[in-house]
Amino acid sequence: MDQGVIRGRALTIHVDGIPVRAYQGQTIAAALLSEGIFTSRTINQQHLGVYCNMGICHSCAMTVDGIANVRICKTLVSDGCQVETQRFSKVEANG
Amino acid sequence: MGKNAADVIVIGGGIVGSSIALRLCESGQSVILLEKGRIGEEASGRSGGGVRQQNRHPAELPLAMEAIKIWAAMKDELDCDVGYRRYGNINYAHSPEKLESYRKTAEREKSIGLDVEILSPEETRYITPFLSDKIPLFGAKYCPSDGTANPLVVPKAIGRAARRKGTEIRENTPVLKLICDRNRVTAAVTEKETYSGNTFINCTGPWARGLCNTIGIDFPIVIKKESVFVTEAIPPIVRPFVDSDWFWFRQALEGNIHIAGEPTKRPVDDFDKSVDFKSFVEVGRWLPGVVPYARKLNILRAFTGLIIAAGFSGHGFCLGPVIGKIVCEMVTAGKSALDISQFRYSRFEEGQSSKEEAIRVN
Amino acid sequence: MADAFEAVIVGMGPAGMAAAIELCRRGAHVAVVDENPQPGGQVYRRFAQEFTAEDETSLGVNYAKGKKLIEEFWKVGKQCVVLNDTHVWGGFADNQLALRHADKIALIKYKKLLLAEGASERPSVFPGWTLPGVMTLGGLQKLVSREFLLPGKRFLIAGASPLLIPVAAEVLKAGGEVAGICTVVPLGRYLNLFPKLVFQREILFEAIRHAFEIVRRNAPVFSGYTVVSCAGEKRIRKAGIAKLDANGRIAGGSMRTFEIDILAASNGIITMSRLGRQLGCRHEYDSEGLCWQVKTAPFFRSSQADIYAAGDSHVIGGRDLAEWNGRMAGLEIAKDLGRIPADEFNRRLSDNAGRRERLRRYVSTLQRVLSPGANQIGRQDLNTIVCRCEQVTLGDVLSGIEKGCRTMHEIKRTRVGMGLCQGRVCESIVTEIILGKGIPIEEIGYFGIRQPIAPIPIALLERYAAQDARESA
Repeated sequence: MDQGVIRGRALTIHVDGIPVRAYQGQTIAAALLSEGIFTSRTINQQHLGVYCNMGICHSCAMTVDGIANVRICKTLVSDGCQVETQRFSKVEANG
Repeated sequence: MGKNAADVIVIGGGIVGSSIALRLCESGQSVILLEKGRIGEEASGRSGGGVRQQNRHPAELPLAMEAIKIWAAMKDELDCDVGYRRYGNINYAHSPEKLESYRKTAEREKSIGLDVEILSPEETRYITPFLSDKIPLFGAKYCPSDGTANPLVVPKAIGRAARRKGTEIRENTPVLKLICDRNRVTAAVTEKETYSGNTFINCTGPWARGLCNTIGIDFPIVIKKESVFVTEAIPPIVRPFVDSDWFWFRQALEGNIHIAGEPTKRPVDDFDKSVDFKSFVEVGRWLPGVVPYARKLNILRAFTGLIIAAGFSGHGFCLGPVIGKIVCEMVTAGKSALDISQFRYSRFEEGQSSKEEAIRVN
Repeated sequence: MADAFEAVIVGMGPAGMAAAIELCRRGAHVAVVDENPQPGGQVYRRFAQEFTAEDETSLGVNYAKGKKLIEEFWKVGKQCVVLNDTHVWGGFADNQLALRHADKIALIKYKKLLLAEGASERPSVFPGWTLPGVMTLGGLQKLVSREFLLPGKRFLIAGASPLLIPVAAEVLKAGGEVAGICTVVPLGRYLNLFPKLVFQREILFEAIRHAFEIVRRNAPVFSGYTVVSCAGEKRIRKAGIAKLDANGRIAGGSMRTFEIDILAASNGIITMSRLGRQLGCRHEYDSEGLCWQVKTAPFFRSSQADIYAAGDSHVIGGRDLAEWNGRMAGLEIAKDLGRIPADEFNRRLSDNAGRRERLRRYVSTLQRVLSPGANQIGRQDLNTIVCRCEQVTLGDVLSGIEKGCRTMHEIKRTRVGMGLCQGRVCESIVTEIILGKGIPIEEIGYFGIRQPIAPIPIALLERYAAQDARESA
């Protein structure tokens, strides 16, 4: 959807190790959705992704540059940033 | 009997009050339980969740050992998984003196039949590998049959069981005062009603002193609040409840880590449930130095619990159920099977009371 | 040491900006705080500073109005402290607020506090609603209209919300294929708006423009239809809609399925009061809007001393009412600070009172007309997720209620509200379920909010503690 808008300069982020193109000024969520990457995290193999896109639902939370539970819909891309899918298994923690 | 009369009036619906009501109903007494808010939402509902036998005042240990038999049967008895798990309690010794005092305590506890052992520093670090190696560690005292349970669930589950067995529970009914007649309590007065009974039991925790004052009885009591900080859920990293001189933490069944530290304890006049900004800062000050891994985590929520240096001093969670049994025996049979002589009220006048610094003994 | 302000405003949407403008004009020392990178809040959201739009008129009425107000805000903004990318994570004793900006924590102090936290959306709940590719209407709107991104090819737009028609039109304008516009509220009901809409020319013209776009592109409209399911392995692929009868059962023959990439749905706008609740402000339940709002005494004063509320978190009213009420709240605070005399405030309050009242009545009608109706959720399949963060199902919640849970505090034992979002999404859903069991709302209550209002990294607390130690040394 490029008509009418000139994005910021192109840069590269890494999602689970794979390079993905992004633009300065985009949120990580927008960058991922542009590339057809819809899953942010899984709980017991149930997939969650961007839902409210406003920082409220935390469904989009991923690990960004080593920090867990970062809402990608509120985080802007930065050149070379490492984004990882979070997978959590709800088993009894000490079972 | 009239609507507001029963054999026993229990005042306070925490884990202690609910347990007492349950046992009394089981033994055939009629009970009305008066709770100022909702069952189990004060101290019991905000507890650290530890169900611990070790490191108690010697007079309490037999009670705690009896209590955990009741805890073990709770799932079947209440038909509800209250989250009780026996994953042990490990208590760090950060100095040689502490280790020595733990050895002595362990000997005493073992002689009564408690399964405790002293662990070497290597064994301790093996069980809790995330402990920073900058923290001096001389060993630990470990009790495998200690455990944890879910404070959100337990008191309410006991309350429901009490109700099923016939307890009349009146929530949102604070007792304003007691009425005495010739050295017997005859009534409990609330805003709308007056309740009468043969026996009145004061299980109001931090408000216990105030309630007794209304009939001219007093006893020393100090209330401290302790803030507990909870992280997001993470994969399993620790099984036992981890205790130390000045901090504790545990991993809940769902994976969240619950954390509290001595610096966050503050004396208060009333049960003020707010968490101070200073307490947050304190966590930042001491926690990463003890568990470096914590730097990767967030505080998701915080709540305030209560330690009353009278009553059960912040370790009443474990004892609650057995107090139910004891008090029931006292009411129905005149005395309890377990020795509770050291808890007699007269100890204050006799100068026999031991000054307990909240949770920890030694 | 905490920086001290005469007034702190939390929220930089129309209400917050308008209040700041009025306060700054009267020389008050003000700080305005917002989590977003730029002023505007939700409704007046701008696009990224790094982007350039070739034709701003195509960005719609909200953009143009927002631009005007934001320009006015920046003019006086020079006198106040504008804190973007800053989150208030707790109110503490002595009128202090704890802030977080990037990797720093700070405390500020206020004499007066204005809560303008705004609103969020009530989720549409149906089996499969947690699949990636399912979004709220506002969430998709932000992607399409401000992030200039169509996240898929085929869209289903559904729900009961003032955003339904605008979002459908915006997706169509951007070139997306809309498989269906599913309005839970039958089209006939929309006609009830017209008597009031006649006085709201701006809104009426917008509505006509949107309708034109929809008709022009032949987007199918399904009147009175609800989404009843959606499926897909790792993201949504199919969705089913149907008409529901009075018992919530699918009316025979009405079901239709679509193959789609994106489903946007929500069931209304609800207040988003977090700091207000944490600070202990009394709230009352609006049974039309189905949400808890900050209770105020004339005119914008909450039940807590020195704390005021305006905008959507106070009463859902939309952008114009939010701006007006924001200005009035700013003036009331100015009066209470002694910066303007009471009769100047009273005079401004009665300016445009007629117009404001008409707008208020329109908004109230809108809420009523677009209300999805109570208790849709309780009739769903028991495996439907209620709490996304903890994957708690409807069956789990109903079982909790059966076991005796009657309040929002008690129902937490089922784990609802205990995950990352701390109840922000599931609260309205769970409230509806419990209400459906006949328990009165006063007993149900709402999730108690305590500091931290949002997760706070321990690493940041460590940094603050170290800095604090250095400063006191």
